[in-house]
Amino acid sequence: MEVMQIVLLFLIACLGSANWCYCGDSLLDRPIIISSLVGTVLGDFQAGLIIGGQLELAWIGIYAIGVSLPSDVVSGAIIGTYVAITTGTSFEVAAAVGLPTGILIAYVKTFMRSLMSPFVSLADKYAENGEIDKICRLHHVFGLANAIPPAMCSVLFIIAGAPFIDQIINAIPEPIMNGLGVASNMLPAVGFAMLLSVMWNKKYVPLFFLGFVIMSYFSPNIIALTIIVLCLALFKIFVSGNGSQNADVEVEIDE
Amino acid sequence: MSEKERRLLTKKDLNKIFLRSYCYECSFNFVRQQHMGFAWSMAPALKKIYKDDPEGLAQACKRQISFFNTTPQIAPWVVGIETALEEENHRANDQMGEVVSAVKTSLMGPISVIGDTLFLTGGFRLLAPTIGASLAVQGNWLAIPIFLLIFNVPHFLSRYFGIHLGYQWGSSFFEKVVASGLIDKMTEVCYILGLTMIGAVSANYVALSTPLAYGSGESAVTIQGILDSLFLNILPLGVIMLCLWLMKKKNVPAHWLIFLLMAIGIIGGALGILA
Repeated sequence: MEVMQIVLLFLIACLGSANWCYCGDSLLDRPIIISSLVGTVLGDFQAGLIIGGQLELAWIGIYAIGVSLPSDVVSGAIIGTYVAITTGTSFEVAAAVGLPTGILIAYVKTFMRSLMSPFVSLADKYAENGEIDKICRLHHVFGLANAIPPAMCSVLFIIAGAPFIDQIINAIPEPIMNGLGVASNMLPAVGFAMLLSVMWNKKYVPLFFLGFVIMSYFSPNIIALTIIVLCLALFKIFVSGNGSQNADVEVEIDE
Repeated sequence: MSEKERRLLTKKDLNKIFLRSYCYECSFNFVRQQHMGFAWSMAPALKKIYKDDPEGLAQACKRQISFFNTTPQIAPWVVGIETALEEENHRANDQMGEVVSAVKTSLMGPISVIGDTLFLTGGFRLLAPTIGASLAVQGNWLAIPIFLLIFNVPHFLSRYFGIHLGYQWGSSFFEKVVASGLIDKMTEVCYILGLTMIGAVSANYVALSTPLAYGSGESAVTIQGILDSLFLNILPLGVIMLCLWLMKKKNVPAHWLIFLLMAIGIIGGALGILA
């Protein structure tokens, strides 16, 4: 394994961390992007892209919601894709290796945030004197502390594990491999359960089942379904709702 | 104060705040979450507004590093409104401090519901991976730009117009949007759309079946066949509901659910009970 590859993998990990801190959370940390980049570094963009797509679907809904982060998808995608491509195995291996390591790295992130907590009061001290530039600087010290350690950890994982990966993967018996496949097909359930628990609102819950049944039985195109539901929702709100304010509201949207 | 009198910040200043808003989440922490990010975003505006009023600047700093948390993609709306209010406060000889803080706090809830359903739990957050990943698994590189554009075009627009319109409207945002009931209506649309989409997408991407059968040869009856005739995708729905129940009622953290499902999958798959 070359030094150049390690440096590039570290940069990919940094990009993943930077997405949240410096790019306004623009989905640059998702497997589609990260795995494709890892694939490119390892000389097989196509394989990375395909694994990235599969990981994306398996880990849909797994991302930080509020303060809870179930698994760090960036390191999961980097390590998982690295293992799958270097051993020539499939996405099941990527998902099985990536997700638990992602959970470990999520602990690193939580640890860094706890470590930084006492320094929050520094901001109050600066504010007292109106030193806004110092607040901005502190903001970025926090940013680096949040972003760099997890990125370093995922690369250290690869450096430490690379010599043994082949042996470990080859030692996994066939039935367990099948089981890993079953597990990774089930895993999106965790993400969806997380999304549901955020959106849980008794009045609207039947709509979850509506969506589920429509997709199970009719499998429509997802964009078409979205537009249909959006139109029905707008119809319900603006037409069948109480009509007194509608005119005002429409004028204001136009402004 | 009419909107026309508010001329202190130029378009260029607002664009600067818009760009800074992308670094909004740097200092996210457990204590006060996005507090410094808020002050960081509007720093150039505060410096300009309170140029010759150090006491006012200190008060504004204290106000703007109070606890705050909302969906980052929609936070610029509040930043824009607060910038306008800080300017009004300066014109009112720093007498409006409490109003400025109150507006900030009271916007947090309603705007988060809209932001979350569009950018965090539903909407573009689910559309982008569903469409992007289905191209990616076919090995089509267009997956990457499509994935990014579906999410980031609305994301960009929300940030850009959030700062500009938020500043333009200022406190009249309340009359225009909150008092008119528009926020409530948008919230309802977001809930309807968000939950239906979570349902549809989860039916597509959670997969579980069983190869078990009884009888043999031609007359074998598969359990899966019986389940399918009852209700398609009944096993995936069961897994989602199990996770939701453990999460909400038993407070099981999500990463333990991941381990649980992996254990069930590996054991069930190895024994040939699940597929």
